Amino acid sequence: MKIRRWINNFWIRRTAVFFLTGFLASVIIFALLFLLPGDIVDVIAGDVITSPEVKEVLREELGLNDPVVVQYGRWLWSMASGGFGGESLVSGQPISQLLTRQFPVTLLLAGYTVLLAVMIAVPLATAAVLNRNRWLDYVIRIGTIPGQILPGFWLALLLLLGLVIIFRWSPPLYYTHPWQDVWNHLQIVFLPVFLLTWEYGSHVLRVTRSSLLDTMKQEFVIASRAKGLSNKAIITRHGLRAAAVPVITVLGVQFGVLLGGTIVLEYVFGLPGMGRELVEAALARDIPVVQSYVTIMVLLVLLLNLLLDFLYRYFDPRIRTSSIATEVVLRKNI
Amino acid sequence: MPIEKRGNWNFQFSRRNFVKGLLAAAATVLIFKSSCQSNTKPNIIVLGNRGDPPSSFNSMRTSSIALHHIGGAIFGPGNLVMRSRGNMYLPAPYLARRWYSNADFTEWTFILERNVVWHDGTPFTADDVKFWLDLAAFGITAGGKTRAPAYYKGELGISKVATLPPDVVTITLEQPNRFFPDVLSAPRIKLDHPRHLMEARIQNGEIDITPLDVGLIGLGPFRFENYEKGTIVRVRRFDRYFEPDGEGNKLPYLDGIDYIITPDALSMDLAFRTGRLDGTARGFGHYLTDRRLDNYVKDFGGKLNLAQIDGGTFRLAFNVLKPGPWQHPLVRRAIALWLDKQAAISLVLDGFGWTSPEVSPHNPYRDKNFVIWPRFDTAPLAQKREQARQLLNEAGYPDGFAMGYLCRAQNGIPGGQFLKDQLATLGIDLQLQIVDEGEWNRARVSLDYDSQSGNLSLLSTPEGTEGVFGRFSKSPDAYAKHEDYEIDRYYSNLRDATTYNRRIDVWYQLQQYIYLTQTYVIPIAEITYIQAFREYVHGLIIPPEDGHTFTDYATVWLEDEAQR
Repeated sequence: MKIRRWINNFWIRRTAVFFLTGFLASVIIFALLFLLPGDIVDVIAGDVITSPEVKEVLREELGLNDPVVVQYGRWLWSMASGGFGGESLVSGQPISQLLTRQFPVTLLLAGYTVLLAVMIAVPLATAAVLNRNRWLDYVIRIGTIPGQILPGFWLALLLLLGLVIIFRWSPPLYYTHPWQDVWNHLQIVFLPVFLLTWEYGSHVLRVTRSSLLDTMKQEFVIASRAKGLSNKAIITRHGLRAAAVPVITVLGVQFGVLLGGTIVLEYVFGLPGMGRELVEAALARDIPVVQSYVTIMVLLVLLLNLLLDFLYRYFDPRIRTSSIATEVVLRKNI
Repeated sequence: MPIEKRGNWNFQFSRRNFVKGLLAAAATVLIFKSSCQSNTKPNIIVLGNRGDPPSSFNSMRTSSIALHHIGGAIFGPGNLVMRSRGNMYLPAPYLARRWYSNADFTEWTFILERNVVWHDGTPFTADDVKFWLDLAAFGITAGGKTRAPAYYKGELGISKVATLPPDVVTITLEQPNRFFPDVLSAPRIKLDHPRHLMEARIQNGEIDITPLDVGLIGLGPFRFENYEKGTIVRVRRFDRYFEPDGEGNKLPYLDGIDYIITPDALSMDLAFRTGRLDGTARGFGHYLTDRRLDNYVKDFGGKLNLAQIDGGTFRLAFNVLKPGPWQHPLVRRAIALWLDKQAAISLVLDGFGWTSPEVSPHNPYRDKNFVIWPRFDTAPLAQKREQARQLLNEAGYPDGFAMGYLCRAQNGIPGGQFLKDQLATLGIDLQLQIVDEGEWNRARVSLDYDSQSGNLSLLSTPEGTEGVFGRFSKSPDAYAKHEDYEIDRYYSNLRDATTYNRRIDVWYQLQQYIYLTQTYVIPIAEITYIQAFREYVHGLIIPPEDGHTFTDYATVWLEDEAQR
């Protein structure tokens, strides 16, 4: 009975699902990587003649001749013990060392984007709702279309070319963290963050707008209006909170897309983040790196989903109640 | 309108205050930035680099230009010998000041330079050479672990290395090689494993130790300063570098080099055009194309140094070990005659190149008649195509056939498309199997395809080509897959040649056999690689071919900023 109740605890269930999904994802990723044709030893050798004997010894040296299960077990143990999957087969550097440098780059990029997207999209969506079907609403909505439909890498190249042609300016060549050189950092992240915010913020803006419009039709809004509250006051005090759940959903769902966007833009803008490393490792068949990075990204998205569950409950008390009600029903059935 | 008041602090959050705050923040950033800027530009060149050096900077594992573009500065342009800065086809002294062989060319003795020191100040000795060559030629097996020998082990063919301290090294070869110093002078063969830092660690079981693990201590003109993956590699002048210039001045002239990791060629272009780079990267994909050069010229006019290096060949090679019409020599010859090689230069080679044999026209081993024979038929294309149709009829394929082509996604698609379009008019349906780098590297050494272009770096000596023209069972890397023992005979004759002229004659016969008699390989056109430098970069030594050569930049200097 106690165990059943424990199993039915929402947070314990969610945490268990989190770890199980993470584990299954890692197994699937590993299996898929092994299905990929190609051999890292050939990639390492590059465009030079290398005898089959030398390649065979190199395979042995890299541990590629071990059974697949042993290789997976080695990787899993390394992940669990904090080694983040061992060493890169191409560069020979520990993956934890690579992550130490690259994870903050991607995290900052994604962090700036989420922050700016919310800071810009929510006020703009509010303004659009307040001016519904007037010119400001149209301008805001039209502004989101390129962000939603145009590929980020294409816009990035266009922007870079435009800046060179018009201003004779291009972003700095080497990345620094903000605590190392804030000016250089701002110059190098400005364009990718701008593009990512445009793309990510466009989705957030449209969902916030439509969610707010739905909210504005609800009875409590009519009641508020009857009380004499202005539209602005209704939206800022009540409407936004009521419209938050779909917005939070889109923030979470689009986060995976955002990570995909950072992969491409990191490559174009020369940012040494996880995305760029992932692309290079995948092309080189550097399986431990790809495996670790994809698993970390999966875990990040799962973690975010967990956080979203928490936020849903905070923003919408009905979800809490319905969850408790479900648990009560379950207990009764027991 | 004030919306918040806290305690005694009379702060009012208003639009005006917000704007003021923003301006203050911007001003702070600008002041900070200007205070950080130095007034003088150091004597440091900033170059693009195609990517991060793979394999922990271990030149025994990879020939990637991403490593060797940087490796030249840290580890030097050669090893015991180097390619002569005046004529890259001649071996010149580097760490060895002279050398000689025994009568049958199986034993080579090198006398080392004195007063050479590693970047950490440790003297360089004959034992360092033995340690490095033993690692490269034999690898290590210890404590159940194995370290593979260097990929160039086969080219060296070393059976034993002995030393006579302090400065004599004797290398015994598996078979006679009259031209061993030529082979050894290949710039990919770098002395990058310092014994004094690695030997003890290897004995302690760390047998996969790499140059990066010991701090990239080399013997080259620049010492390693720092490396940030995906960002930058910095090297600075090594004041105790041993090599003087032609007038006895100390090398290098520069204070340092910053290699910026620029995997994206377009980003590199933009950085060069806006003055953030002094020179572009070496490496296929980063060398200039016709269209990119137009933009450079538009921006800088004639104020550019354009280094031209003859590069790889665009070719078609057949897997004759796989059944199909291409097993018939007449079919292969027909295809060779049908292709419009001149058109390939603009369509495949970015606008820079020439219809070509396998080696550069600057190469002394080139065909004496390379303009007219054997690959460059002088007959008009229409006439050659008529002959091609006749040959295809004779071979029994008047209506053509289908053939696969292993096509590298990264940079092989223009070539594949060109061949497909060309051969379609001959009735041959070329089916492109577009693969990524991983699969391309696997498939090119397998028998799983019908035809491919093949793309490998060669030694610029005839003997160095056996790996790409030899029999499949002997050379899995070969462009064309065959088991033709006649080719073994040619290479054996090459090795037995004791005079230069005899060597050249055998090389011509070999080429005629491969390209004409059997047409295992069809050389179509060779690319000219172009690396760009700003006009104030001087003293560049540009190799006529092989972009891995002279990457040390020891003789480079920059004009004073005031003069620019």
